[in-house]
Amino acid sequence: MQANDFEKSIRRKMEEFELVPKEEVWKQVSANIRKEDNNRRIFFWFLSGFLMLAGLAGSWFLNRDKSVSITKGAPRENKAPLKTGIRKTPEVAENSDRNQQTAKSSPSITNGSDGKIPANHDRPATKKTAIKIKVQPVKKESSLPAISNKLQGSSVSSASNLNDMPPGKVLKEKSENLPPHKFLKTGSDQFVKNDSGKNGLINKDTKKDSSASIMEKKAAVKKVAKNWKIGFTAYAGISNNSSGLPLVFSPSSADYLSSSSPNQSSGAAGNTFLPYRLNYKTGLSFGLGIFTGKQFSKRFGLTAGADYHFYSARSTAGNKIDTAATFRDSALQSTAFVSNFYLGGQSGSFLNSWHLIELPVNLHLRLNKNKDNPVSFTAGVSPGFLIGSNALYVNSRERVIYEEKKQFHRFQLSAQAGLLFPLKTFKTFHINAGPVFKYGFTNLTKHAAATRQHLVFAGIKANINLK
Amino acid sequence: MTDHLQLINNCLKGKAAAQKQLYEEFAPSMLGVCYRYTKSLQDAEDVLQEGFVKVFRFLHQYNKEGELGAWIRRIMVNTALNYLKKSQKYQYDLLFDQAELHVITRDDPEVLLNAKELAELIRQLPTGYQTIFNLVAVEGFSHVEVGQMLGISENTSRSQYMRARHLLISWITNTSGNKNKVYASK
Repeated sequence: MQANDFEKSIRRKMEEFELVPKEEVWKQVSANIRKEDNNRRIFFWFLSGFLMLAGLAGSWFLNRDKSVSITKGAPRENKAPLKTGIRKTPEVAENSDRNQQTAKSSPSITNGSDGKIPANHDRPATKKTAIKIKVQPVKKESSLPAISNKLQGSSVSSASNLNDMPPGKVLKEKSENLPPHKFLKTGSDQFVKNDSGKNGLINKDTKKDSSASIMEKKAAVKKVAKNWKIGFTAYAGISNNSSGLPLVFSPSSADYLSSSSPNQSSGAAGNTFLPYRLNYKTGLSFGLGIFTGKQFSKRFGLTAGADYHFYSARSTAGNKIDTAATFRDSALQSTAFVSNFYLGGQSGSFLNSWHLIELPVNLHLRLNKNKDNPVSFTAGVSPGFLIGSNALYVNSRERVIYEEKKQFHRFQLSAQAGLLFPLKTFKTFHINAGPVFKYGFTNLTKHAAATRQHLVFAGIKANINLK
Repeated sequence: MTDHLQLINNCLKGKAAAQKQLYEEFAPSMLGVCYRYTKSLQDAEDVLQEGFVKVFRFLHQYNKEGELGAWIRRIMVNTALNYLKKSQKYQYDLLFDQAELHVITRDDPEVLLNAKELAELIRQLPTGYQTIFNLVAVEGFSHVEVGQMLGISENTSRSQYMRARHLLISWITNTSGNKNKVYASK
């Protein structure tokens, strides 16, 4: 028998070998499968629930300002469903009838005795009220004595008195003689009447709304006002490196750069000297960011966010030398390895740029009383972190100019102020924009660099506020 | 094969009857596989259980072109190897030494034992020998593959296999002459 045959024989016999497992094995396998299926199902439902909640939260977030506008624009007490619901309780129904009669008795709201609303009434809620009045006509003559009877002890004792009084007074007179819970209701309606301006007379009819609905409305307004909102912000404008502030040094030979090649003696005759400063000119600047904000009161709000901000400024420099070189700077205690550098001079210009991540915190003060078109003054501070720059550095010892990242303070603190005007309102967001000015308090460069550089930005800031 | 495809599809749909049918069809032969790699029926059933859970978990990865039995068998073998590596009682026996190759007899006996007798003899091998013998002689893996699976060198696999083979042949030779003596203790 060959050696290979032994293995073949073993394999053939082992393929025939079978054992019947115990019943418990399948039960365990089955239980494990079910458990895994359940886990998968739980995860699926959890994920679905999470996504659904996220969707609901998102839709609520996007639509919540719509509810505010409804609350502001059309008083909720004029909504038919709410009115219907309140009429179901007998007590409220009684008050409603009384109110309707009172409303009908006023010549301001009715056009004669037929109870029609003037045609120029434009609010939909008001129209619904008018329809209600038509459906339940009450004769003026018969209703007034009924009111007089119900308002026991009231000074309003006749139809003529009611007609002569202004609507507000009718309510006031009534409220003085009502039990406390009815007085509260009347007072609330008075509040609504005043709040809704020209619909004041109609609001006498809307007195049938309960005070709870008004409180609910006020709570909703308050709740929305106190929610955190998020938005996006964008900047565009010009920036500079505080070139207006001269970098003053004593005019010794050390304070000037020679236009000669590096490592040459600076005292050679015929050398032209470069003032020991880089003359900056304004450059373009822009920024993008996200913020969250909260309105603490009618006038004050706070926003905080995170921005990326690009600053740039042009500076003068001499001839560019495209040669790799190593420069030791004793001031910064560093050695720079550069692929090119500039000599002193004014012949060329270089675009310096700075990239910062900033965390602006702004206080908003509303300057006007127009809720729909608020004009705000904003001011705040922006801690920032310099994430990159190609700005030039003047190495006075070597008399060269080159890019040097080690000259900077990474942490930057700036302050900003500006105005925000409402620009445009869309379905899901609105845009505010206005001028803004920002100044960097922190010196851009380290003390050892012996320069004073402050980033300045002036431009337009736009806030995209999600509803 | 067509029946298996239908069975697999039903299993993938989560039908318990199909899952049980698949289990019942393959469980006996797979328990035989697990039995050869372990030292007790309880351990073999543990491996079988764990292996079938994996089969149902990864059934969607089966490409439906190869033999389903071979695919399940490969899962069982891997599960058994993992079980041996994880189990404390098998770890010491799985230490493979680097001893020199022994010269063994070329006279291979004719295997007259039945399958169960042969399986019992294989299980009496030291775990290291048992595992390599199963992988090489029964499953048909090369020594390179066995080395990769067990984390040993090809030469170690080869030498361990030859030792196992030599030992088994000597047992088969003795057992064939006196079967009752071997199985009296079982």
